[in-house]
Amino acid sequence: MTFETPKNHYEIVNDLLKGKFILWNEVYFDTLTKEQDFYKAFFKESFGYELVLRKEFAYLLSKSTGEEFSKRFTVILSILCYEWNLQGRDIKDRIENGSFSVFEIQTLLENSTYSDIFKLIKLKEEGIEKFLKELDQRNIIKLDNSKETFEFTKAVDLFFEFAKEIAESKLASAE
Amino acid sequence: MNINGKSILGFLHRNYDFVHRLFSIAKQTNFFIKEETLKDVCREFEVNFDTLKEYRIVREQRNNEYNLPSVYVQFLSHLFSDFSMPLHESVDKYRVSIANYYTQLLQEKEHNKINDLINSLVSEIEEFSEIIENRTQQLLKETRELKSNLSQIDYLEKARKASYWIDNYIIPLNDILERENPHSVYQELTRISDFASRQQYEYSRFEIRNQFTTLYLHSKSIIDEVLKNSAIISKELLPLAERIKSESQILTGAIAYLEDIRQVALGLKKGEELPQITFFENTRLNHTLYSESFGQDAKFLWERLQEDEGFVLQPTENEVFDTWFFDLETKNHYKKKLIQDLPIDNFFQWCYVSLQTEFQETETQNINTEKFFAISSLLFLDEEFEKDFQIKLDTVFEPGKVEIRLTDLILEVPKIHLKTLRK
Repeated sequence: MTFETPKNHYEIVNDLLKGKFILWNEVYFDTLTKEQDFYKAFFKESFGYELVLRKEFAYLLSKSTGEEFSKRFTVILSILCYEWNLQGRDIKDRIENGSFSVFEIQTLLENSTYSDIFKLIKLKEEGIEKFLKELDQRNIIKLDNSKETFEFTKAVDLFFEFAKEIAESKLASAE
Repeated sequence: MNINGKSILGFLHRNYDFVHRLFSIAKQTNFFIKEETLKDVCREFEVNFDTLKEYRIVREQRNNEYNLPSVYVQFLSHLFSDFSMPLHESVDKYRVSIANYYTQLLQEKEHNKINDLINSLVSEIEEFSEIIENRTQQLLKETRELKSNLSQIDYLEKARKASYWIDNYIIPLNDILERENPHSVYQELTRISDFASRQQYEYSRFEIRNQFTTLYLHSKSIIDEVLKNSAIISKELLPLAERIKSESQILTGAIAYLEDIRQVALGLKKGEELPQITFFENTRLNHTLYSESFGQDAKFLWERLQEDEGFVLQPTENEVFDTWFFDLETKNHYKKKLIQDLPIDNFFQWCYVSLQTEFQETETQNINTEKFFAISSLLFLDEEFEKDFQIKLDTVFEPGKVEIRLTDLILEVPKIHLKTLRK
């Protein structure tokens, strides 16, 4: 009996299990889309994880989440949204289409009204660069070659959806 | 007092700022205003309260309330370009009435009635056109104000307001103007315009033909108005309102999350109650394959390495030396024994029993891993067996495990069946 797998099977499984988002413009994304029935069943049967395949990215969902990672990411983006809005910028448009300097982000976070919350996520010692590197490895942002500027990928949609869900629940509880 | 149109317009002209303020205050309460409030505004602008009543700019109601008559509401709304927005049904009723007049017009044969129906249709279309123009501009104005947020409402309220406008005003308005919607006013006006276009040449009476020409030209120009407003709604108003809604929701969520983190830090909320984005945990470690004994082995080595002094094993008194060598002689002895005992049902069991037989006469009777593994190595000597005994062995792994209790280790080994394989 021969065990046949789709093309780039190893890379797909390895990337997804590392918590990486596979983006629509990556080579493996096509394989994932074509073989989505296989991969959905594969991850469910092998590990009990749900494969989420969206128009612009794919990722794995599991009940156990990296709490610190999720918290750090949400805190940083929430503070940035707050600050950019104060500057009168259209936040969603800015995040989706802008390029950001690591230094500018660091300064904004440290001088924000919410800098006390930023300190709570304890990035001080290792610096924001290391965290941004992890975001880059997971395909949530793309650092440029100099590692001094970056852009967000479509995976950032998960943050927008998350924030909207909180807003909806606040709205529902206010009513 | 001489009350006529000129004196009323003169009053409005002289007291323009007062009238503007009065209109703005009354608009907030659906054009009903408390007597006390009304008198306050009059005092502020030094306007005689009784004159207002005499000119019938306000009308007394019960409970010490006054209202602005609808004729003033319409006139002043137009004057200040500030229109109230009654529910969508107030716009939709024109769609229904225009369709009804048109249906009647198609069926009517009597000339005078046709004349009246055309007039009613023209004025209904005209009113409709004004309403949608005013409403689109008003929505655009209020949406822009909401975007700039001059009244400093919080993001949650902003999201709520934008959402309400989208669902209750903007989308329904867009629907009745929408070109593709078969029940839209656009479709109705197109049918009317086509009909009037034919009738302006075909109808038997000259004066009615002229009436149809008026209806045709008017409906054509209103179709253009409808398309213009529809474009403003779909290209500017709706995207703007959607963006305000989305931005306000994101900000509401972001700020609420940051405040929640603060509450957790202050001990006012439990960490488990914090909502989370369900990011997938990096599972690299969870899927590394390893042996259960690696940890214990590593711990053992680590502890030994940490010991400062070296250690030397020394025999205790009366210790019996267990010197057993798996030399050539011993090896040949066991090779022969193995051939004699073939077929062997359980190879590892055979190793153990053979050692037991050898040592049962001795003092030690110590069957340890060293001896056991030495004998077990016979299993891998295919070539030697073939050379020495002209025989080839066949090993068959059978399901099930066998436990072998050595003096220094308990082993769980597979059951191996050994037999001769004929050449």
